[in-house]
Amino acid sequence: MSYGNLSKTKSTTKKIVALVGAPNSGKTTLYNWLTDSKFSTVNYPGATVEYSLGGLAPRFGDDLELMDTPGTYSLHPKSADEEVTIKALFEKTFLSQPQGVVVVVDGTQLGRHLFLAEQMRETGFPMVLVVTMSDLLKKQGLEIDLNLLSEKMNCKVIFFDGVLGAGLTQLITELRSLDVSKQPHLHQIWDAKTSEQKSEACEKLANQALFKTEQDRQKLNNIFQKTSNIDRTLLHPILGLLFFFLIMATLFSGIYWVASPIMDGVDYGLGWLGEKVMELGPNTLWADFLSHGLIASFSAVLVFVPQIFILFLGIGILESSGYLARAATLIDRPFSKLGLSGRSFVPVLSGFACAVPALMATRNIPSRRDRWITNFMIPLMSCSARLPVYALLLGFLFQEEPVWKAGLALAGLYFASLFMGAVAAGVLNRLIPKDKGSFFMMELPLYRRPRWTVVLTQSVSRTKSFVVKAGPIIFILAVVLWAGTTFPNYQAVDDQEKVESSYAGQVGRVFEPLFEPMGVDWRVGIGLISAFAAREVFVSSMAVVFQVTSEDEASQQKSLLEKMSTAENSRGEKIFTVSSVLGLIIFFMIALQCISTVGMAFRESNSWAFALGQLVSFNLIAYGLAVAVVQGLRAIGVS
Amino acid sequence: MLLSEFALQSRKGSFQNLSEADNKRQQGLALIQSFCGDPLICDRLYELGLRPGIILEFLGRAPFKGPFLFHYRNTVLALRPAEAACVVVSQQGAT
Repeated sequence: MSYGNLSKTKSTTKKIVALVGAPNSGKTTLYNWLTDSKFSTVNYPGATVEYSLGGLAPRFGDDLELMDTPGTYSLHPKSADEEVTIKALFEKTFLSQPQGVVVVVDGTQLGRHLFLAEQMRETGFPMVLVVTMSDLLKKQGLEIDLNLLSEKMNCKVIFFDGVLGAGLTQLITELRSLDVSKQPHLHQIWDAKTSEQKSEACEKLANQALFKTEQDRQKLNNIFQKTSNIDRTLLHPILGLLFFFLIMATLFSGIYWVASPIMDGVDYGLGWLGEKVMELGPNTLWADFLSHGLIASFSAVLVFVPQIFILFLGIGILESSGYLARAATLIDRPFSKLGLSGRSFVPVLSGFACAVPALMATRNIPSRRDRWITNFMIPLMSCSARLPVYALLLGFLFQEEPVWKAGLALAGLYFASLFMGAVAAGVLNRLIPKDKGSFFMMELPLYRRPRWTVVLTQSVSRTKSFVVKAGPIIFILAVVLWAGTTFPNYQAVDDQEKVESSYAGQVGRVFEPLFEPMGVDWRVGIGLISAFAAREVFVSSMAVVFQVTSEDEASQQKSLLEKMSTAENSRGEKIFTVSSVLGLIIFFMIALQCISTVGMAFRESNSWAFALGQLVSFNLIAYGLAVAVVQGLRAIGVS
Repeated sequence: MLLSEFALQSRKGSFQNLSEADNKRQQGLALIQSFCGDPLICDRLYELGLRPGIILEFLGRAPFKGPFLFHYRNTVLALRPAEAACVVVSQQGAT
């Protein structure tokens, strides 16, 4: 089987070692210690699941390459990310096949985690067993008989302290001396009887290694008591939900409020740079390209960085503290009605801030099917870019009305977007056959204090991955859009004239018959086309085509509303009426007009068919519904 | 009986503190007899450390009639009713 472009395979003379372990086993913490948090996150060829590659930290030497794989419970994958782990171990990837493995087992879950170690042992992979969470065991005075484990598992066993890093030097020494001459083979699947016997044997071995006295068993129970006490509140049917909403509200207000000034700063800084460039070459094509093409396109990419970083930081904290698994469990039921699981909640909610980071957040969903459905519904959530458009259109509808009415209508739009997303997910749920990872069996890990280095490193790495991989797609599409709104009459001094005579303007005129059933003319059509750069561009495009000159934002909106009230088409009919504005609202609610989202949808699904299918279907449905609303209202006498 | 049926019959309380649960063990303990249904789910149950002979303690249910929560061998596991229906159990220490 081929998994994409293997020509990128790097050859390396260093020994390659993969880290394998169950979710929450402490594998990533160990990986961060080994690499000094210097690694790159890569997608497995042909898949959208990522794993990390990094060299040994320089202070330890440079003779080892390390690979951090997605957590897995066994060598027989049941989800997309588990599949990547197995492929990374047994097939040639970008880096080449690992020659040895470190099997990471949680010392507090030894019996269960030895199950994977036993499978790995049977493959013949040269391996070292690392027992983590030693700090928790030591605190209770528990000691693991490493010699016994080593003897039974036929490999070296090392105790690792994730807080202090103890055990690292010994591990590296063992990895260096690992005999990698043996060729591993795929694991032969166990039948039920064998699985039962192996599970029993693993637990027996763990008990022998852990418990010397009956008190030792109680000591292990003590470790779980704290988690149990916290769960009493956080999983309580009422209190649990209350805390869930509080935690989520904190996370998402953080995305809005903390990211907002930084985003404004990025926007202002690059806007200032663009102005300075324009001053260097007023009315020249090169300055226009640099300012409105290049810098504005960079801005379109970089403006998302603060939101993406904060979102991943928040998710990282929730995940490493052990809460994310609880949150997914608490909210699982409503999502199960849509064929999804509680893991889709965070990405869907993130969609209300911005679809771009929200699409990236779906990487935490192990089931490929769930990820596709979630990716499909996210662009329907009312993102922050729709807000200026809604503000303008609702401002028009409720010009003489009390403000609360517009506010209520806005809230209605947010609920309507959730409803539309649920409908889309429901439809897709019926169309896509269930995959093998669609079940929900969630292990709720111990609550632990997040390791900040790990969380920060992961957030930076994922943000960097967005800039490097999705950035170019967004950048190219933004430059194409600049060219469309600039050429051929790029020498025109007047902005309105330039836009009207541009290719985008010409397209607007060509497609005017399409816009007419929506009750608007080609000028609004230009706004709708320009909104593909970013939805909020619709407002500034309207200001340009309707010749609003005010610099002040508040008075600009006021004079734009006045112009909209009096704007007429070539037949002398009002363009903006209740029906046409409602049609526009419906259109903006459903249409996928954000090229950044399309670029990211391609990146996350690894399929142009998915990204373009989403683009075409959302826009066709948006158009059809907008026309139906406008014509329906006009048929019953609402102008 | 199936684990899903056992959970529905058990006390529908909120999530219990383990020590509290210890005092009420008779009400919520189930002994796994066997697995049935989707082999993939059964396989995952083994991987999660479940097998015939393991005693599960029913802790409660997530809101909106969500997944069941079970405790065994210092692990808490959330299972949807459909997955819980793949585990055949017998009630332990019924009063």
